[in-house]
Amino acid sequence: MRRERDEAFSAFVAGSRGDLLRTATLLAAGDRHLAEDLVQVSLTRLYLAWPRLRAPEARFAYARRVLVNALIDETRRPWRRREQPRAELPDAPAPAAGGPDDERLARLRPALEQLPPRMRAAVVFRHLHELSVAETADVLNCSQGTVKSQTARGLDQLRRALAVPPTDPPEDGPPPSRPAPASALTPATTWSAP
Amino acid sequence: MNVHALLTDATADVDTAVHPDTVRADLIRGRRAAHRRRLRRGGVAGLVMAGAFAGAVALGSTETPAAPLAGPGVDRVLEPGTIQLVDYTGEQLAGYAVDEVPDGWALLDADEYALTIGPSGVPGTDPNSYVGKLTVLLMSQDETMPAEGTEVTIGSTIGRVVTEAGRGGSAAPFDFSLFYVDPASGQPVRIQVPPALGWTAQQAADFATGVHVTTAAERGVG
Repeated sequence: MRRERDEAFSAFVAGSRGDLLRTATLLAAGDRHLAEDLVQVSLTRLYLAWPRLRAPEARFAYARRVLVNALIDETRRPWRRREQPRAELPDAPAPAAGGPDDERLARLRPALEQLPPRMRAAVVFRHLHELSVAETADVLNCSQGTVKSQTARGLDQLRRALAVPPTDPPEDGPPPSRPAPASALTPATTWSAP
Repeated sequence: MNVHALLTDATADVDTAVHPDTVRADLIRGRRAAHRRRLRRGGVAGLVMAGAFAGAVALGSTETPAAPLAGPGVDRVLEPGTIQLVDYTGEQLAGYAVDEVPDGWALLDADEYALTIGPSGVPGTDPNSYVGKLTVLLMSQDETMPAEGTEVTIGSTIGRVVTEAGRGGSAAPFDFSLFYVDPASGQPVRIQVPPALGWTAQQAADFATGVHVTTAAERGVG
């Protein structure tokens, strides 16, 4: 019994850890160490809950939910409110090849960091993973209306931080179109002009 | 603004390759957590069952909250109201929020499974140990609401108090458990009361009135 569980869990980790780490990196606003911590917490709790999560999609949804909860827990810690550790120094020089896209990427992480955790999660799940409003509401354990409002506000804040005029469809409209796989994307070609 | 592309590019340099050693490390962490939970829950479940079989024990009437604990199987009489409830104004932790805490006690640790409260200024407690702590947690998914025990009123709902076997010895981890369904969240809650508080059932119920289960709380397994 335990052997079956361990084998299935290991297969899940091998196949899904990378995606969870990408999600966690955005939830942590680029803090790689925090992202790794969130993934470890998520997978540990997933192992505990494994027997009652039979469907593969339920396991993934649970892991994502724990990522968000672990992030919220982390942001509530007193030391984190007093200090704001970052992987990169805030006064680091800008990249040499500073095109418009590089500049926007550089501004994305601090912009994400300014979003409250659940708002950040709503944006990431809706627009990186392209979950539906209902799926995102399930992951965040909130109403679909909350997902819509949180996503809209999050996008609005990101647009302002990145100085982009609002051109996206409203949050209650059709889900975003599925773009090309990540491997086919390059910073210079994938961003639509503002 | 193509948000998907922007977010994808922001994580383009994340190393998503999963080394077998990483998988094994995740598995070991999970196994250890499961082991700790088995130790914790096994001891707790055994004591609760033993307490249920011990039969109904008077734990202080709901009409006379100040009555001392006494009854069959109780080999000592606790001083009622030894530690009173006071308003809690500190930081709330994840999973559960509380309006009041025992005087001189503070929130120790919390995750989605349990909130532990203990005497202030006692550093270095094991967050996985509930011994000697006032503990709030959701009932395990494998547990059912006890049919035995003393009924108490918790706000608009009714709870049930079940005593622990072997009470009176210093090794007893807690005096009794209060079981009820939280009206706001619909979640089945268990509150374990340690001997150090000397509480009556009604005092535990008063504390439970100020317990709020958040959406982050989860039920354990086993």
